[in-house]
Amino acid sequence: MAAATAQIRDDETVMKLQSHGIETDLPAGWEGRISVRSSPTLLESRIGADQAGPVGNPGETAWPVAHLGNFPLPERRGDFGSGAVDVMTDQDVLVVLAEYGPECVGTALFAHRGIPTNLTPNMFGANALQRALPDQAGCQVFFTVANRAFCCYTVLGRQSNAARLLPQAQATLSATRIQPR
Amino acid sequence: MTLPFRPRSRSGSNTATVDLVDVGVHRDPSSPNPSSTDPIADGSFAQRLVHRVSTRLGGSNTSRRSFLTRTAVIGSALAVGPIDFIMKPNSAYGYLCGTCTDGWTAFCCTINNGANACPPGSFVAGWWKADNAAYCCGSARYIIDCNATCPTQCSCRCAGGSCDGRRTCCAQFRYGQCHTEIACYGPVVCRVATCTVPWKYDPSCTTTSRTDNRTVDHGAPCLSKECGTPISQKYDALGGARGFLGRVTATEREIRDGRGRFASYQGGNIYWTATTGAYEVHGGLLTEYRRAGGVEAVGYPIADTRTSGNGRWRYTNLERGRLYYDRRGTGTFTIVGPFFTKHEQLQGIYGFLGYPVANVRRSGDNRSDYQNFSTGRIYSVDGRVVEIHGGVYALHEAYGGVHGTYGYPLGDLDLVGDGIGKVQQFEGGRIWYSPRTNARGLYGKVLDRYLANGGPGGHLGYPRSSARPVGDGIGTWATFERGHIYGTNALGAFQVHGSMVTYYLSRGGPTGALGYPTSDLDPPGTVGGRFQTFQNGTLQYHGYGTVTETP
Repeated sequence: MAAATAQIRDDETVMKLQSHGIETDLPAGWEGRISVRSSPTLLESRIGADQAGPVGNPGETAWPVAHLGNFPLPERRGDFGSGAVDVMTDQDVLVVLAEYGPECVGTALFAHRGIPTNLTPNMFGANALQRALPDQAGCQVFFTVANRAFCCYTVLGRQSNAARLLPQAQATLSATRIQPR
Repeated sequence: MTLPFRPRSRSGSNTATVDLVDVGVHRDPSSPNPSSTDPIADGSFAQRLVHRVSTRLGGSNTSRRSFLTRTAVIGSALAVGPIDFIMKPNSAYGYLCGTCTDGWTAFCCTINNGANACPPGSFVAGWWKADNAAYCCGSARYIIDCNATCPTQCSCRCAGGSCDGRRTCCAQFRYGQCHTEIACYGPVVCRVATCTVPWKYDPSCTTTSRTDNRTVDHGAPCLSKECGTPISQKYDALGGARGFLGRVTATEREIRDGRGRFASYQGGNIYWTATTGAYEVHGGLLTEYRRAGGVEAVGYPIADTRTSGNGRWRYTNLERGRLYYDRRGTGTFTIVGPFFTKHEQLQGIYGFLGYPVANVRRSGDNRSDYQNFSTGRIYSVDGRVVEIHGGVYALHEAYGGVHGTYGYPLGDLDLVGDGIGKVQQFEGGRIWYSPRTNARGLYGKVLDRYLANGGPGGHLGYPRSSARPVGDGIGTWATFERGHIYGTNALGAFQVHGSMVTYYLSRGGPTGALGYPTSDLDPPGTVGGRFQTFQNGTLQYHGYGTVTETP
């Protein structure tokens, strides 16, 4: 899994996270990972290339996934945050930016342009979670930016804390930049 | 078909009224708010307890069984009767399968009359995979979400299956790789579980992969393992992950030759073609198989690894060869192509060549390939494949092998036809073997004379020594069961035998007064007596061991 590079800026309050054309400034108390899982490939018939490698099947394509949260992210996480959402408290918020292949650009689902930076409480719902967990609420925004297709999935540890948690997520998304491939 | 949908309530309190499509949110705005029906949405004490306890009791590295225990048994038990479960843990299985509160969506086969497919009113909307799935014999398992089409015609509820009571029409979440031409989506009605890659299951799906291994063991009574491939059947037959092959490290896939497939495991590989079947190769034999070039070079395995009758060797039969692993530690070797054919013709490791001690090599003169065995060697040279073994091999090597006096063998060791000895022809001479005389080689003028005089069937019998220099820088000689042959390039070679040899040697042999013979002894009955001429004299044989010399 390719990992992101991170560096602390001079003011030591913001951590810059940058990888795979995704760049964000994480405020103090936040942490993040930007990674791409290995893609299984058709192996050489000449044996020797068939050592233990990525699982899955040939043809699968892996694209970058960013996990940004104001809480310690567990090492093992599903792409849409499973594992991480299980340890979230009422004060926690998780932002997932998951990229899709270029064939998705221009389709109806990804018609929205730009990183969503205007999340509002009415966009969140307890029924909009990948997996329903008590008190949590989620929101998915499919969008295209820099000719790249993404889904922004935001999870609030407690829906009733949206007023306090959403500004943090907004700030992180506002500080996120995505470069063309 | 009985539709799994229930007509949704259109009451105002259950309906979301805000259309957020302008901000990129494509959830069906007409989908009912599930808060009044979602069994997990109100966050009751029991549900919170389920979540917290099941999270803490389970680890990140759980076995399938413990995972099921965590999510199904504990979760179900606590959800249905938390106090009973806590106070009476032995009754946990009594709560099995009550999983409506685990937060996941039911499988389609639970709510779709057993069909593992999206029911009417839903569409394939996205997918994820879970690796190393027992349901797929260790390969990746794909979970495909069926989201309700807009406007949503179902409402959140428990599926009610006897062992898959998860929710249906509750989670308005979309993975998003399929049917991206459809923006609006309702809640996930159910999940399809398959070992088929989603873009083949539904061509509208893209190959963009998402992973969530926590769902690897989600099951339902109506789901069965998809282990129908010959490779997976073989894997199961060999004990699966608990067998010597261990866990899957690379899932089943095609080999570029278009003939076969293989899968990799911690301890080895399984290969399959329609003509050969599915067989494993593991351990040192697999290492050697790779070194030898794998399926391209030596073909597919045609049997599982076996043990030789003497217990020493582990071996794998291939289409064009065999892999050998010596349990005594001498090494692991491949016998391939013509070497394999020849070795097998000669009874393999039980024949006179014995077992391999090296892989095929190229000769120093770049004329041949050869492979060494414990008691011999096989050469592939100039289009012929020939063996050399035993005493003949040792003698040949003593004389410089293929780079020495005798050069390459022209054929295998062959029977003389007298019921006693054997002979092998080489580019530079011949080597005879008999139990009485062992292996002896002849070349040049000495060989010519021996053959002219009948070879082993003649008076001399089998050679008792190999041809060798006299030591004067001129001649060569060899001894036989009943005589000698001496020769030079200028004079040719001649046989000296019986009493003549005794007399000749008493006169110093070829370096003595008589010099080299210039003829054979006259045959019996020759008119005027039997004479044999030498460079510096003549010997006459009078019979009964009497020899006289005439200058």
